[in-house]
Formats: sequence, structure tokens, C-alpha cells
Amino acid sequence: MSHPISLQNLSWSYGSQQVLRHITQEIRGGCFTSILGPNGSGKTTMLKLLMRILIPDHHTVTLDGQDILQYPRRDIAKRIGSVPQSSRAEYPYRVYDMVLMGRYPHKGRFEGIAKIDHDIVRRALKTTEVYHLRKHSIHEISGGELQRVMISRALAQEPDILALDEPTSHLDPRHQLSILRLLRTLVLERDITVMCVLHDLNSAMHFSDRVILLDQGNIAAYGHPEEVLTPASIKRVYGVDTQVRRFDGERPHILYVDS
Amino acid sequence: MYRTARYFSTAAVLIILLVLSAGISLTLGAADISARMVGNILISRIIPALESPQVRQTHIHIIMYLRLPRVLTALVVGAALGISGTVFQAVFRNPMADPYILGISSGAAFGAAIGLVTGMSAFFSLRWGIPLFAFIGGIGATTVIYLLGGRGRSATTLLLAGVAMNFLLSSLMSLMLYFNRDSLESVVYWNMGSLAASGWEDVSVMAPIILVGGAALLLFQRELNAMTLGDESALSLGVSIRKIRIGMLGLATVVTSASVAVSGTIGFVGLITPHVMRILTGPNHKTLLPYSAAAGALFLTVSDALARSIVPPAEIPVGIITAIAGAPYFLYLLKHRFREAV
Repeated sequence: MSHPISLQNLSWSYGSQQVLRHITQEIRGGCFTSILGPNGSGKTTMLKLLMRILIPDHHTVTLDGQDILQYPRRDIAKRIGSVPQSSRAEYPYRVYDMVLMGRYPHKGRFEGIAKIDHDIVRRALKTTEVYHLRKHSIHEISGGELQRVMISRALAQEPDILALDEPTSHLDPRHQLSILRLLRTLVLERDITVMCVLHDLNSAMHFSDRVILLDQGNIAAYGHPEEVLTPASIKRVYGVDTQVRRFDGERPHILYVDS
Repeated sequence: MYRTARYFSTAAVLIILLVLSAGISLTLGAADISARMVGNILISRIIPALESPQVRQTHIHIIMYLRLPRVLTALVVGAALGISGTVFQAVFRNPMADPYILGISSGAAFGAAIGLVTGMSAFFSLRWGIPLFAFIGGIGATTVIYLLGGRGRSATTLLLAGVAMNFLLSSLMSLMLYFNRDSLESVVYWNMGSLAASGWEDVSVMAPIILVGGAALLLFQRELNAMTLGDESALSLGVSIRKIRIGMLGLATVVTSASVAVSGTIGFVGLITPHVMRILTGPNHKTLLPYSAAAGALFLTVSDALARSIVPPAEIPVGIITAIAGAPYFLYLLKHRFREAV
């Protein structure tokens, strides 16, 4: 099992406020890893450091064994596709043009868009089932559709890693499920490594292979979701009481209980 | 296909309007020279044998040394403002940005005025001295605006930084005039924006700067697109935003300053043209940059034609015309945006 990304003693502070404290963790290749934790526990910060949107200290984040600070920005973009938390664009780009932007890291300054780029963009649009929207402006489509377009753009970068920050928040249950299923399919069929910040514990339980549970900038637990998401750890990190119920042949469900 | 048709028809309409307005503009002025005569004068410059016997030498002089350089200046300055407005709107992610509103034009005008009043610009050859000082002033203003309002702050902060910059520069300008009353006229002229004094000297210095600057900006259309999505998206697409942002602002400031050096501060061209073109042909900078350049050229040529013909034989500074057309549009945008935001 490969570990394309590893964190060594990674810390981060915004001013005097320490957000991540000496995190050491490896991300398994070809797995769906969920990053969980209460608000302010450092999930988004960790994701941003992993792809050098925030600049980590030397040798604290490595991509394929090499310090991420040594990679040219474009080379990181060829490896890691990203779906940021807020994707509201100021200007009404067409869906197609938006996804075509994902080809940026592969294109030289004087190099035009070639047939292969259009092929890759069309394939990405079809994978995420938004091909029929390609001529629409991104201001005309729904939140769930926009999220798919963003995943589509990330796929057009042809990455082997996807980093997503709460891709299902603000979506209705049907769209939440379809996004998570899509990510699951990408892991299984294309061997893509997915790192995904999630809020919903049950989503993480049902769709991920590994879970990182963050608590105040520390890793409270890491492992298989069934091992990590126990009533005890949820109580400790979130301070809420839960019961875990298992139905036939499925992963357990987490139920919140009033105490 | 539908899009391509729209690009072509917009381009065709723009080109036809540009040729028409430039042509009409050449016939306007105190001396009554008919369109036919103007045409004959232009053609006979290339093929002398075709010169009509009715053409007078003074008319040739008026067309070739007064009106033609002026129309060309209007075209080039308008294009410069259209392009730099587009770039500022992309880099600041703010559809209300424009070199005039952000105080960058004023910075360039102030720089040029200092060069002129202190006589320092005479150290360089006169043709390059004023643009150089304009650029120093412009880059100073851009730096302050960038540091105050440009980095991820709200749209309002950016606009307020521009307002403050304009206030500051206008009082500094008044102060300078207070001590140098003899240079009052040329400095006031810069403040109002006018094409009245433009000649071949100006065109030959400024046009290359603006053409090269504009072409360079066009090479960065993909980065400009990515940057309008926000820092995080741009970074994750592989754009080195710090370098690119500084480079883009630098180039846009060069282009703005070059235009200010010949025509003074002309407002709102850079605000309106990217807007209208975004509505007509979409926000993709690959098309938006050249279309905004063409639309800016058209806007300024028409404004200048109006400036020269509303109250003949006097002429109004063209900056007044563009402001009368542009300021209400700015207010309209302001109203729209705040309705969205609240």
C-alpha cells in the first residue's frame, strides 16, 4: 500500500492561535480518507497545507517522499485536484470553460488547447454527469450541479489525488449521496486517492476507508471508520451522546441521543 | 457554434463601428472638410497620383497633423483603458475596479505633473520623460491600493481605498498648483482628460508601449481566468498567484500610465467596456481582453467626436463626456451589487 502524502510533525498557527499541533500522519493511496472534527479543529487548514495552498514548514508535508515545497506549483496541480469550500465565482463562466481551466497545469504559455484537452474535459463532464450542462453559465445551475462541475474541473487536471472541503454541505440528501457515491466510484475504478473534509459522521462511516478525527489541532483517532467512530470517541471529541446501530450487512449508523 | 457566431458578429459590428466613428471623427472640426475630401487626402498619401486638384494644402495639414494623430490617440488610449480595466477587474476580483476609480490614473497624472513642474522629466528625452514619470506615479498608486484593499479584502474596502487615493492625490495636485501657478493650465488639462494636444510624437511613443503591454497581457488570459475564481482555486489549478498578480498589475499600470501621459485621466472607459463585453461575449478573458480593447477604442473615439462637436468651435475635455456617460453606470452597478450583498 502506497502513501502518496505524509505529514511529519506538521503544525500551523494563524497569528497566535495554534490550529494544528505536531501532526504526523500518512495518507493511504487509493483510499477514501475522511477528515472529521468539530468546527475549528483544523480540518480545512490541514487540507490546505496538504496541497500547499497554505505554506507548511520544510519537510513537514511530503508528496511521494519529496518535500512539497520543492515542487513547482503546476506539478502539484497535476497530482492533486481540489474542490474548495466556496466555489462562488464572480463572473458567469460557462460550465465547459470552467472545466477547461483544469487543463491549465498541463499547458505551456504559448500552447493552445488541443483535441486531447477537449477529450479530457468531455470525459470529466460525463464522469460527473454534467455534460448536458456544458453550455450553461455557472450562475444558472444548482448548488449540487456546481459541486459536480467543480469535481469535473479537478478531474480535468488528471490528478491521482482529490482534496475536497465539505463537498456535500448545503446540498439536499439526494445530491449529498450522489456526490459521495461519485467519489467512491473514483476511488474504486480509477484508483484515485480521495481526501475529504466532512461534517456528517454517517457519510464518513459509510463512504470512507479511513477516517482522521481531529480535535483541537491534534489527531484524536485514525483508522477504519468503524474503529474510529465509536460513541466513546464521539463523546470525547464532539461532546455529544450517540448510539451505534447496525443493520444487516451494512456499516453501522450513528444516532444522536438526547441526554 | 452559437457562441462562435456571436463572437464573429460582435467582432464585425465593433470593427464596422470603429471604422465609421474614426472616419466621421476625421471630418469633424473647425475647418469644413467633407468626408469625400478626407477620403481623398488619406488615399492620396499612399497613392499620390489619385490626389484631387481641389484638395488644399492646409486641409492636408489639418487632416494629417491634427486630426489623424488625434483619432489614432483616441483609439489607442481607449484600447489601453479597456484592457487595463479588464485586468484590474480580474486581479482584484471586483467588477467595479477601473484605473480611474482606484486612483491609479490620478497617480500617473500626479507623477507626470511632478515631472513637468520640477522640470525633472527634461533629464530624459522629452518624449520618454513624461511617460516615465507617469509610470512611477501610477505604480506608486497601484502598490498602495494593492496593499490596502487588494488582498482578499472586501469589494468595499478596495473601492474606499480608491476613493481615499483620489482624494489624497487631488489635494496634492492642488497644493502643487498653489505653488506653481504658471503650470496651472497643463496640469489641469491632465486632470480633466483631453486629447486636444495629441500629435504624432505622442502616438509614436505611446502606441508601441500599449500594443506590447496589451499583447503581453493577452498571453496571460488563462491566469486571469483562474484568478477571478479566487486565490484558493487559482493556486490549486497551479497558478503562482503572487508572481502573476504583481506582473499583471505592473503591466496594466504601464498601459494605463502610458495612456495618461498623453491624454490625462479619462474615467469610466475601463469600467464600462469590460462590463458590456462580458454581457455580449462572456467572461472568458481570451475573448474579453481583445473585445474590451476594441470597445474602449470605440467608446473613446465617439466621446472625443462628441467633445469636439457639441459646442463648436470650443471643445469639451473628453474626460467630462466619458464621466457623464460612465458615472451613472457606476451608480447603477453599485445599487445592483449592494442589493445582492445585503
